[in-house]
Amino acid sequence: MLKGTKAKNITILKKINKYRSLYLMLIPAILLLAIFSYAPMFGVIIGFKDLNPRLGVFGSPWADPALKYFMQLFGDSKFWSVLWDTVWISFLRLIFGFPVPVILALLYNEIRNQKFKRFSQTVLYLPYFLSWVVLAGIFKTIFLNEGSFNILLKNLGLSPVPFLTSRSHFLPFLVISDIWKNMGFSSIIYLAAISGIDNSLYEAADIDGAGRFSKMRYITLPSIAVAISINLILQTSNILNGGFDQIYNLDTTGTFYDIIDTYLYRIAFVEGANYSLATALGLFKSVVGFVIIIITNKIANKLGDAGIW
Amino acid sequence: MVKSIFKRIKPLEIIIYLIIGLLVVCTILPFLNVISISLSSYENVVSNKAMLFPKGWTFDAYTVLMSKKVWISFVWTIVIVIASSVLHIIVCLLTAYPLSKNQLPGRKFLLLFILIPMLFSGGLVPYYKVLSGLGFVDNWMVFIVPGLFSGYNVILMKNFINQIPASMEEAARIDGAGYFKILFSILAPSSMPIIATLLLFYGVGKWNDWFTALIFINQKTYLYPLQSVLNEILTAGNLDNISGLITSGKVFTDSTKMAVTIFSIIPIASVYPFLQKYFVQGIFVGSVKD
Repeated sequence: MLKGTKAKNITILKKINKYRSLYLMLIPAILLLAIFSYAPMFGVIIGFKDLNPRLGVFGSPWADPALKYFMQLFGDSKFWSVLWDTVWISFLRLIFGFPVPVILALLYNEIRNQKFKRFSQTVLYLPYFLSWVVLAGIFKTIFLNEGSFNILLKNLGLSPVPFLTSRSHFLPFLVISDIWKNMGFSSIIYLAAISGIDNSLYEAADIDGAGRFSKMRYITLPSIAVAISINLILQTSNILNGGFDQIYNLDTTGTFYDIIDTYLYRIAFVEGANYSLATALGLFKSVVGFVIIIITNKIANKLGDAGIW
Repeated sequence: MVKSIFKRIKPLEIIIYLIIGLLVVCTILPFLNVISISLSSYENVVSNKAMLFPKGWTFDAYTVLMSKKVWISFVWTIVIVIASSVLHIIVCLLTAYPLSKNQLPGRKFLLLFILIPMLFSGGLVPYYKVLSGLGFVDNWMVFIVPGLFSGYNVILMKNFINQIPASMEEAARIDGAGYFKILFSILAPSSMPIIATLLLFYGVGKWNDWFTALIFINQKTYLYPLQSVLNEILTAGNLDNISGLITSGKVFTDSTKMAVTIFSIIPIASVYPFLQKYFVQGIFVGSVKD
């Protein structure tokens, strides 16, 4: 038996030796992941410690009780309002934003004129490639109270709309500007799925006398259902990401909407460097995100083979 | 005659063209407005006479681009974009190729090692703590090194390599080529669509990155990339923060703000249409689940 394991070990060593240059290739990835992804994962112990900058993460004493910062977090009404705002913004984005690229892809599929198609796609992709720093600068120029759009409204005899300066207007502005930025680009994935559909399905439908709508309803939509559900999973797991870039850059007052990320950034880097509390908040966010993606993926796999893995 | 035209252009089609046309207009108008503001004289901007077309043409606003601070950040950003994108592609190729080999012992474990960070992260503060412990605060390397690996991009690359015919590799093997040689002289050139795609997205991400500087650059503000300087200019009410940006006495008008904005858009806007067919193809192939 001992001999057997030895022989087995030798064959494994032989195999590893055979592929040694392949393993060599993996070294940069393993190092990068270990340092910049896995080390921070172990760093979550900061959330369970009274971090003292002089003593470092390992030297600092454990918090007493261990869940001190989590209790502080969950006991604070600010946390619950932040959580609510984050989920609410993500939910509105999902409800209004998710169908747009699907519809756009379906519309594109009906367009025969290739020049118009290419031109309009190029235009609609553009905002996706620009940062929220740039876009917020542009939007502020246009939509602030003295901006071009409100001047236009005034000239038309309408009253100006405080898009960026009132909390109630800020929310729809967030949702719509996010859709505006991403709709064109997000449609690519559905166009990809549509282009993969077997043409003979449409030909068969033609013979059966199907119109455009029934072809869309019975062939195109079912064929891209997998792409739709994968995207839905990805977006759902993003529910605790309210969009730091967008809100941080667009919110002129810095107080309209606090989402988890802006709140975390503030308590960690702006107001008093409360690293332990911010770590606890970050860990909460990571764990919830992880649980959601596992659950939604399981559901998607049950509904058909539509999960991500 | 009339009948045949109606037959060719159906009402439904007209509605579709109208909808997409409207979306195109909604996307173009803000940029027209911004260009027009940047090129118009101060009086015309203040009195809002330059909505879509410049009035009182002037390039005055663009003199902000002559400032040392804007130029330094511009050149520095280009260095960041090129260096980190090239390194990123090399890391992606080096990782994706071994993982595309089903017979590699430990492949499942390695895939899991890559998958876990895609689902779970330590969060911003531990990340900051690790990086500051390694001396990345106020260090130029923070823009290049920590973000080099991306699990998503490796998987896209792996999917692409998987669909390259195995016979190409076998022919090279028979000629006695090693794995490194095969990867860089055969597989990499055949992977140009996905490489172009990843270069574009990674490069654009780096070009647009302002968050890294927000968190990691405290003192050495000369390390600010273009987006951070842009952010300073756009939000600047007080000129103290931006001393040395332009000669004193000048104020940041909407025109100067928009001039810098356009300056920062031009490189992206002139690159991506040419790479469009690559990234569309890359996403088409990469999104295939395997």
